[in-house]
Amino acid sequence: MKPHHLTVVPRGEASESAEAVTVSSALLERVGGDRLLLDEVIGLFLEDCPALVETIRQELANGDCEALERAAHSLTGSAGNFDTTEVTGLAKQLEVHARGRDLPASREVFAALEPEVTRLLVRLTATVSTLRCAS
Amino acid sequence: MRILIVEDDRATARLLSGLVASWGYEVSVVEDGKGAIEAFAGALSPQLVLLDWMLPDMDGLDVCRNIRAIGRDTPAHIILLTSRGTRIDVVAGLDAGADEYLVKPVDRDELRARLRAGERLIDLQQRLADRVLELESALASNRKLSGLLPICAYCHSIRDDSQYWHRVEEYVSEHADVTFSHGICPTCLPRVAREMAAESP
Repeated sequence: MKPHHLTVVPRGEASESAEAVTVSSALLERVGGDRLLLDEVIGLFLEDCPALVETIRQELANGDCEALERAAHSLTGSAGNFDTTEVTGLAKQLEVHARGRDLPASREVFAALEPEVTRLLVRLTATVSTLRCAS
Repeated sequence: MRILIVEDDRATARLLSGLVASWGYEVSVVEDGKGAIEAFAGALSPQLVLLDWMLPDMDGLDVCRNIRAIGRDTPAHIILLTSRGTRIDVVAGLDAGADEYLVKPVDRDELRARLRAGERLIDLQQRLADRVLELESALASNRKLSGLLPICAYCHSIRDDSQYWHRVEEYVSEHADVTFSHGICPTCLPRVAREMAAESP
């Protein structure tokens, strides 16, 4: 598998910003206040999301619109658990363009989507650090 | 109550299973359509299903149709989950056999309320199925006399469906929930008494 192109903030830097990050009440509400569950759910997303983004990149390169639509739909669903309208909004747009077989538009949306995914991964990594510090 | 979660995204699957388990349900999770269909093969199949619209091997609609085709006395309550909430999708989902349709990300309180509503429906269906069994069993043991009975005008024997003649009391006790106690009526008493007197030495 090709290495992914996302820049993930190194653990040290994430921990520094962790103190400034409080766990979003909306996220906690979603898991019924269960911090352990939230930790697990975020952990799974942090593991799976980079590969999903890489799949999208590959399908854009291959021009496989069906596979691209499925991957974009997966990302919409997965990221949708974390209150990020930026990522879900762009991922939905990507789905629509893929369904319409519009590769140029898909690529444009992806260019905007990728940095938002990075921001989300950083935020969630910091959230996990906060959860673990607090326990 | 047994609930099956059919979801290929691990984060979503973990979130749903964590919540649902905390509400007291027996949870199992599968990540594709094949796994979902296999879950209905055994005797203890799920009663509630949270089914993702898009799965790696088939779409949720096909999984729905397959589950419905298996057929159960008390069908599972299927809640279809999707990030797409267009009217066309709602209609397609319900037509494929889903009982409900929820748009992701699912609100926790709404999910819990809908699962409870699903449980009430399942309980109702189970009670109805039990009642039907009771009534069928009662009907089978409650044999009635009805229709046109061929009866001999002289000795009053009755002919059954297989063309055999039976004494009245034999026929009636076979076809109704009655037993006979043998006595003698006022008309026969004098005649029988005379016959017995004539026979005695």
